[in-house]
Amino acid sequence: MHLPVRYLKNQKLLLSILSIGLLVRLIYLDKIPEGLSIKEAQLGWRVQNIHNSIFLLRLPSALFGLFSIALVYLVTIQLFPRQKRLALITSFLICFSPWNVYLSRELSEEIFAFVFLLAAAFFIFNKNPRPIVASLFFILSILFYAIGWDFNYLTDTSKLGEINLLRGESSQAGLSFAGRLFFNKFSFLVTGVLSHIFVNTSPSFIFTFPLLISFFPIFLFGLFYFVRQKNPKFNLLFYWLILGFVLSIFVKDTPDFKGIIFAYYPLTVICAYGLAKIRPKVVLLIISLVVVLNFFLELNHALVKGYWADTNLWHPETLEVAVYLVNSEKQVWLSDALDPNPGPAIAFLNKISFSLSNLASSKMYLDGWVSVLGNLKIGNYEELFHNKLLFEEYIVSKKDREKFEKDMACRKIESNLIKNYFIYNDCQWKEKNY
Amino acid sequence: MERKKLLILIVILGMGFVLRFIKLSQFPVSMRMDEVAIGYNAYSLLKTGKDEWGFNFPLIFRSIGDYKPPILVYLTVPTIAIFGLNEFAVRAPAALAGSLTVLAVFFLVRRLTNDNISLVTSLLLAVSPWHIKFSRSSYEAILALLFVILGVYFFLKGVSKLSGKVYFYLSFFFLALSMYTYHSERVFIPFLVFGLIILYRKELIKNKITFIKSALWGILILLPLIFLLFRPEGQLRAKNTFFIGDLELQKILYKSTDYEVNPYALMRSNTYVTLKFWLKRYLGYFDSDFIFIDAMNMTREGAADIGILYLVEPPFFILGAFLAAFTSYNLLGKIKKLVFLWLFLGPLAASLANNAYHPLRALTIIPIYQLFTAYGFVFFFSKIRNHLFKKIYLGLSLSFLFFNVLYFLELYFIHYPNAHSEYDMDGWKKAALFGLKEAQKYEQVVVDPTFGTQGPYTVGTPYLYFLFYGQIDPKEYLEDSRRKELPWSTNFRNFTFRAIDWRETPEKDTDKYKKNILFIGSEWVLPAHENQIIKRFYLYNGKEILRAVEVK
Repeated sequence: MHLPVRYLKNQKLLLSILSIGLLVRLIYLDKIPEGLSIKEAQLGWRVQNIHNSIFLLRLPSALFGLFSIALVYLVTIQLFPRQKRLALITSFLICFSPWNVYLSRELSEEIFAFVFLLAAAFFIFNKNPRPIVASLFFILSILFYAIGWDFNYLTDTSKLGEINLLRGESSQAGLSFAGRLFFNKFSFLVTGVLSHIFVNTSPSFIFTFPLLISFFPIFLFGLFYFVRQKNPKFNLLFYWLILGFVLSIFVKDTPDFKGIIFAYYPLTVICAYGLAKIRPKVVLLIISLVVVLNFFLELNHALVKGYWADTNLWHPETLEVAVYLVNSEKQVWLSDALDPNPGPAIAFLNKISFSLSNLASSKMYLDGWVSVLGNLKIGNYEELFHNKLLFEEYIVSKKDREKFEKDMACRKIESNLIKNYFIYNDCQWKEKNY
Repeated sequence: MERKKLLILIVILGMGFVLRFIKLSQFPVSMRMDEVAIGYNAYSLLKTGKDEWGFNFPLIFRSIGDYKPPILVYLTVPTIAIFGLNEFAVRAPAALAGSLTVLAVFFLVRRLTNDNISLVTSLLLAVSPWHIKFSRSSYEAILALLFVILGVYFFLKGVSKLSGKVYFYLSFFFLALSMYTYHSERVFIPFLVFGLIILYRKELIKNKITFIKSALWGILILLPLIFLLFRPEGQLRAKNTFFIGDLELQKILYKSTDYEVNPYALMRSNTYVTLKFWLKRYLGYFDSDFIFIDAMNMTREGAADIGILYLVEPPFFILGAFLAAFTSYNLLGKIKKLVFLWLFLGPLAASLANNAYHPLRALTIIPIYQLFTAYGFVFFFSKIRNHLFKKIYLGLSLSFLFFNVLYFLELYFIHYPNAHSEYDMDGWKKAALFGLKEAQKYEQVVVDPTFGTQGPYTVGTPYLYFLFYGQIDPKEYLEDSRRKELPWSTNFRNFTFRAIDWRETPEKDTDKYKKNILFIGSEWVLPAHENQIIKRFYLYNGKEILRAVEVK
């Protein structure tokens, strides 16, 4: 068995990359991305780590991000033993890949799946392979990846409506046989499966989202050299790439950078292969460009501006509410118009324990939805208006403010802690609205 | 060429011709507003030598304010002279150009590769959903594509012969003509010509006098266009469709100022966002789901659709593209570079315009996509040694292709009209014919251009349908005194084209109270009482789209 330590000896460059990688993943970990994702909040509330720190909540992901850099180096050096430069460039690209930094800076299963896959590869490609250990890691990897699996399209009944509609049009034209021939469950399944693969292998998605502009020319360059090699290891990477994409048929039918997590390694190796063919000075220049584009620009957009967070939103405004509510004993109503499920984040940050009694009173459902949390009631304005509920204090979102002020006579509270909500107390429902 | 191959080519050409001309007048079920505009302007040129606005033999047609390129309008003049002012005459030039493109592609690909690959390429083009759909409706892009193919073909012929004088002249003539024909070519051709000159510089140096003369001839042809492009009307289309104004981009740029945190203000980076947005658009034309699944938008949103290539093509296409890029099988040196130059330049113009995934604007790439599929197909075929297996392979592939073509025809003739006739201005023909017939009974016929099944979101050009289907004499139309009522007025005789005001007012001064007027418009502008509706006009799928109303 070749131990990783042996590979890591006298590797100043690699250690530098790892150090930078660690720094990039740990710096302002609790502040960027600002807020908490639903997943982080729910897990944080359950685990209740020391001090309820966001930093500690995200630390495992950050560390796994770091492991991924080291493992990428190790796997590459095993696959291409004489190409230390290739391995170094690959690990460097992973270190500064926005997708990797992004996934390392929030609690995500995908970074774990990626590391376990690399670990499996490490044990299988070793000079003394350990197939059992590799299999275990592979299973772990699939299990973590499987959390995001979505088989919805296989059972989507709305497709039946489409089939019937198209068949109906064919029948009206006197071609009911053609309608049945072309529009049936099988044809829809085939196009559905192909569509899932195609959307996740689209160049417009891969090179502007997971791999980004700076990688596109490098990838083309690398691919050109890559496919001309007769090395069987290249075939292996090619199959790995295909498998990585094919697995995306099990995730959503919209492009998702997390869905093709298994394809990143071969994609990055191909990019690195292109760079390894270039003179070191030019490589340095390109790498600087990669760092500037990917790290500063893209991560600024992804993590600070929240562009990538379409499916797993962080709500920085929830943190404001949580801070405001610390030690509050009042009966408070909070509008859910800004953040639909702020409960777990508030509970986590206010150290409300995830006990059975709290669970019962919180009406926490299986999907993690929280509508009542101690003295705090979270709901939509229509429900509040319909039931004419009275609370000691109301925290109203900008969206609901106009309606609220029209229906309620209140005293507005000024607080520096909350920017995105308005706070009111001493409220009465206006007579005319009864 | 062998007799057998010639026979196959004739069959392919016949097939291409039939698929483009069969039921040409009836399908698409309605003339788009561009088609009626082209038709009536050609009719006006034929009768008066002027366009609908009275400009003598213009080089750019103001038309509905979109300043149309001129070639297709001029080519429609003879067909209108022969067949009269009707759907067939307007659509015939594009359908003919489409049919001829099949032959032109055969000759071009034959020059690039060999007989077998060129035959398969022309077969694929002949049955291509991408090419058939646009050939059957008067689109300039189809004509421009033919000119590009001819231009490149003659260029290659020119460089292969020391005395290629005529070919160079022909090449530059067609390339220049393509720039007059469609907007995309105005971006594509300069880059392509530059690439061709770089690639074939050695051959051109040998032929430098002829080349310079023919290039000057090309520039001479382009001079009026260059002059036009410096004028506001010549720039209008480019300005209106440039991707910077795209709503999606504006939304992203607007969002980029959101969540701005002070230390990051230095990285506002709108240039980066814009560049990334453009790259996404550009790469989108190479997306497999666009190519094979749903590019053609021929059914309702979310329903099964068809790509620009058939679903039988991906294995051959991917293999062909791979072979072309990384091996020297049949494509060598300059030819390979030319193919990839064409491929990468093809979607450039489309990516610089608004709207993602626009198959019409990217039509220029079609010969390359079909070439890749043909390339993969022939490679497979050449690798099969057994004669019987060859036959099975051929039979199976042709059967799958046949099945795919049937699927396309089903979509095109049945589902496409059901789902999309509204966007092809369905209903306006019937409304115009009715209005023309009833016009004498009323003091005025007032027509509102807004309509749509979901809301009055589409603005039509009803006056053109009245002119076209009424076969109104262009001289009479040009001289009609009502056209001077307003700048750029389209009113004529007792037809008025304006917004209808159907509000109830105490003064009773809106259209709702005006008698002896025939109102034509959608239900959104004419929510009239049942007994006031004298005629309803329906879409192909049976939904009401327009109605005629009279105040009683």
